Amino acid sequence: MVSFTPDAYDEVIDHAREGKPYEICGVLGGRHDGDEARVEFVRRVENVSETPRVNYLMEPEDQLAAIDDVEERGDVVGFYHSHPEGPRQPSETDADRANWPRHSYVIVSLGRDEPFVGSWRWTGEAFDDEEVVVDSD
Amino acid sequence: MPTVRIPAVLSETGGSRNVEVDGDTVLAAVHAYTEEYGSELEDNVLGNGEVKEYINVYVNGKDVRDIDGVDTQVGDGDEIRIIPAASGG
Repeated sequence: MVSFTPDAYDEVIDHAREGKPYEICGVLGGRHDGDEARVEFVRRVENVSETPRVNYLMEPEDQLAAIDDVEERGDVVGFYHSHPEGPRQPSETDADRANWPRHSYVIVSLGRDEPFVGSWRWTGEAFDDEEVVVDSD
Repeated sequence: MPTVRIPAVLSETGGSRNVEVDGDTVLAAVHAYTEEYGSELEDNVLGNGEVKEYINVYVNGKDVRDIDGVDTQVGDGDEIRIIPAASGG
């Protein structure tokens, strides 16, 4: 399970909406302890993919700076990115490039309906669907 | 000597670690690490003598792809960091 503070949850959705029609991305910060993960804040990272409508690639030095920022305040819980036109699930490209075992990969899917925030834990070999919970205020 | 800083996700011990190694380039430093600790890190980071596509290597916070790649010079006090790139579709 991964839980979000309300502010962090709103932030990933706001970021995804602002970035549409392009994919956006960032680092999730908070507490990461085994199966339990709590996102308390997020750090946006520039997407430098050459095909940003359908891919993301974190700008390398910005990614490093973001990780350092997060680790000053807590743990790297994982990463988030958007699917401006869906789908809700990780794409084949997401699975091919995932390389942070035990971390959460959050996808904000925008489509015709309300935004959907899903999360998958990368085992090192596959994505395991995990429950997303928003803490009460 | 430069220091190689490895995040937990690439560490065979499961924890992050900082290791001082010999070497005056990134490549030499990685090879020195391999001599001491085995090839797992090198296998994860290098392919065909270059940094693998979805791995980032930094010297003092600068992406080595923007310097001289694996031939980037390093010396006393320099920090080599290795971070898996976050990317997808």
